[in-house]
Amino acid sequence: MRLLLGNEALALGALDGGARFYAGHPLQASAEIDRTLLRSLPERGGTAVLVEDEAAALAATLGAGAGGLLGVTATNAAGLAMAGPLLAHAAARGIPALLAVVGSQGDPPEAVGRGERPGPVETASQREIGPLRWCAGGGASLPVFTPASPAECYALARAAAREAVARRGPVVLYVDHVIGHLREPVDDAPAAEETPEDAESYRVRDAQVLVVAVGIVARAARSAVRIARERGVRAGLFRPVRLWPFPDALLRDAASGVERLIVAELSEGQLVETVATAVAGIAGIGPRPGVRSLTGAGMLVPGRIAAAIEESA
Amino acid sequence: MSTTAPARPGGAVGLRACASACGVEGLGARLAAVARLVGEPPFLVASGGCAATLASHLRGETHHVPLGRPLPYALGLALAKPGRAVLVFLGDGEAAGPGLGHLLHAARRGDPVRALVVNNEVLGVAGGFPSAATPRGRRTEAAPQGSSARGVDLARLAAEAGAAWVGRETVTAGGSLDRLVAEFLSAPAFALLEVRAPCYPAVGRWNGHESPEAMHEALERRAIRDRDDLARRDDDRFPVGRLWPPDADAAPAAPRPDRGSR
Repeated sequence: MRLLLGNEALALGALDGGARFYAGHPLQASAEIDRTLLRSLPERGGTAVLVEDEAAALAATLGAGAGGLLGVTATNAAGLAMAGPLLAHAAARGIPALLAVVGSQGDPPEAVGRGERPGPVETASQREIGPLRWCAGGGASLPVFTPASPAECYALARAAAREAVARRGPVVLYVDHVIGHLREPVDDAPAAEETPEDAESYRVRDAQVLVVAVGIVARAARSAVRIARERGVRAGLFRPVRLWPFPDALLRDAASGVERLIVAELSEGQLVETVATAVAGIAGIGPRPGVRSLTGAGMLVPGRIAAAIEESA
Repeated sequence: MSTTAPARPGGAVGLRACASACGVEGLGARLAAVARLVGEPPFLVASGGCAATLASHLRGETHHVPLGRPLPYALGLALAKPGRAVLVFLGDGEAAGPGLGHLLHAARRGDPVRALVVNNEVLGVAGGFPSAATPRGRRTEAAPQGSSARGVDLARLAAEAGAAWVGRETVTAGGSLDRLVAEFLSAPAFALLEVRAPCYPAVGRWNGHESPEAMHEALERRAIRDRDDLARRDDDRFPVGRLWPPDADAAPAAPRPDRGSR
């Protein structure tokens, strides 16, 4: 058990999952991933190289994958925008690769408590949720995992590396800016390797109001569920762990008894359409009024989500 | 060599037939013959355009990748397959445009790959637009008023950036080309060979050349083969042969710029 940043844990998980090549163009948001891989890969007999830009990093990662070495690279929202043709190429040609996307930091902080100006990493944006769905161009959605803790960064990166090789294609890890820079205990030498679930359901069995959220917002929503229940509102949380392709069936199971859904995200509603489509037709939930979009900039704190739950009940 | 060329690069006849007029088809045959003698590269990387047709002449495993990215892709492939030669095919549109940064960094790092650039000074397949290597004033199909920007000298930039081996020849140079290709295929990495080939449909007929052959002859006249002749170099004329490293007994007026403390 070690105290690790989400970004560091992600890098170590990728290595333990079998990644043996890294090409990168370090960016501030993902620099801890680059640093960990540059330091750790040579010790494990792997190869690490710094290149001129994000596209070169991903292209070299694909070249290594085509040559039989599973590669990993890390980037940010801007790098993701350049990645489309290469990800499409990897998906079409069956080249395994791992791409870690660390989300942008988000807008400053009206949404955070009054007078509490956040430090450099206490805000996040999830505006990459939508672009990630079609990040390989017009083809099918790539597998995209969204960890909500450093421990999960490690476990999902390891599982993603295994999946990239098994599926022969690119797999994406999407870490928001807060999770990537959160330092928590991580078991980076687990006794048994467990296959992660595609989604986490928290207190959904009797829920009237179900919150759907990923990453750091899901952690705030978990607290909001507890707050709402203390106030007598039966709330629950559905957290996609595999963000894309979206786990529709698991959401329908979780939402089968609820009356209202709240999609909480740090973007201008990139996830709400998907959720509304997934639950359309479930008894008790109207087509749109039953699915509410709660968006924010910087951060959605538990109190705000709890208030939205109470309004919806 | 065919005396006919299609009205558009590739055109209705396809790139392979078109490439017989510009000499790229012949270059592929020479490349294959030389490679059989000095050793075939097991891995080939290319994207699109005329230059990518060269890969079909060799027996190596070909990787077609998105435009602009063959060099960094080849870096990853070469690092995953140490000791196995990786040969990259580029056109001037790609090498001097979206791939120029990659080219300079590959040269700077000494990436373990070799790149063959076919420079026809135009974005032929894309519709005859000037490329970043089109000389200033040269008319092309899509720029009949003439290109307004100076053309990039790929071989010179690669040498300046630190390439271990740089050569340039015209596609019609015969034995000289064969010898340079043989040297290139076993040169230390990063190595760049620039082969100048004329694109008659997208450039030649817009600049008063009567035939592909006339354009070949004009291109040959632009080549500087005598080192004493280097003083006559200008934006339109270019030295050919091995440009880096210079011959031990080369004149002080070696074609490479001063390389500082390297």
